[in-house]
Amino acid sequence: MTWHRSPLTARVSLIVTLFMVTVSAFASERVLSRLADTQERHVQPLADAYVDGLVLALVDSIIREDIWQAFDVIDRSREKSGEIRPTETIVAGPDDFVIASSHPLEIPSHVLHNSGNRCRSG
Amino acid sequence: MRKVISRRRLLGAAGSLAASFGVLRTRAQSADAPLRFALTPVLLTSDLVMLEELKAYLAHAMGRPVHLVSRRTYQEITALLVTRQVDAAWICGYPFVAYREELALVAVPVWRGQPLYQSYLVARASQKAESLSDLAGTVHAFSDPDSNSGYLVTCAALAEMGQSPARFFRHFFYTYGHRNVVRAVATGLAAGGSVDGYVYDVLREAEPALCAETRIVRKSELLAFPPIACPAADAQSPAIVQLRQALINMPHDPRGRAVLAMLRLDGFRDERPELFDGIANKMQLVRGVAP
Repeated sequence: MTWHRSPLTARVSLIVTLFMVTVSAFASERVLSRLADTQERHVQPLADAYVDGLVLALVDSIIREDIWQAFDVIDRSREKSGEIRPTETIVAGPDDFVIASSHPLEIPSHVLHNSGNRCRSG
Repeated sequence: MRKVISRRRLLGAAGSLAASFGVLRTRAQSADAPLRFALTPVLLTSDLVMLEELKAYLAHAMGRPVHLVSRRTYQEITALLVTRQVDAAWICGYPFVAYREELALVAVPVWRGQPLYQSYLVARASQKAESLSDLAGTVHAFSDPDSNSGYLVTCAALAEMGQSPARFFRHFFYTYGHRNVVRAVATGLAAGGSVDGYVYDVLREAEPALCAETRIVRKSELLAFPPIACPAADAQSPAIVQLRQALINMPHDPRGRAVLAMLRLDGFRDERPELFDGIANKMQLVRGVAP
């Protein structure tokens, strides 16, 4: 009832405003989505390069099951990782037992790592 | 331990064989040849400035170039020394007594007025441990399998209890550096660690934040400080005599005093090999216990 009693100019203005808000929201969502895609496209190769470098540095430690050297590599890589800031790194052997992790108090060496990831950086 | 003993015998045999064939001739016999001086992580090898200063002082005092040789493990340095691929090395007391026949003393560092130091058993600050027994079933960090303070002393204490590292600890590993032992314990990678008391005390001054996460559970008796040694066959060579004099005269030279200040040492002293009998006794004790 209120809608029919309101002047036409007000109704048009409201319709236009709602339309503009809808269009803006849609456009913003698209822009943000594309921005996220672009960022992911840039960050993913960086993260891949980081993990590849880490794996290369860890190969010897994994073969020898050298707890200290594995820990030393991931601990130093956290200090010097620049744009990439790994929150948790776990190095496990082929048997899925942890060789070393970035948080040894929470994930100590020689426990079974259930995720199955051999080298995960999250 | 069986593997360690056979490795030592093998190294000794290799050195004797090479020497008997005349394959290895000490270069330091000629007056201007560089002295090849090797270093193990008995000291804080990460201090590059100190290493450069030590090298510069020795070259200045000896009047000949000095080439510093560094390796990751004690075993590598001991192998170089026994096979005469280096002229002298700062090694640990344990390899010195293990190769007593092949090696001779050049000089022994003096720390806090004595040529002696201790091994510390350290634990994480929050770890409830008052003695070695309290660390049974935990993860332990050793420095090096050829280190006195970072391995042998704890093994000897276990041997007195009829134990060995493999049976006493849940797991153990080697960090190949005393500072690394402290890092391993401070971060929680290991519950306890065996570390050189001299290095630990220097670290407490230099990196108090790192050591604050750890505490000393047990201090060993005083034992001979890691010495400077040379192949026994070269003990009286001119280069080794020069090196001994250069080390002993360090407190009387401004550059030498600067190096000693960086090392937190009082100086170097001529000592008898019997100083290392305490370490030799521990070695015998450990060899008598099943792994």
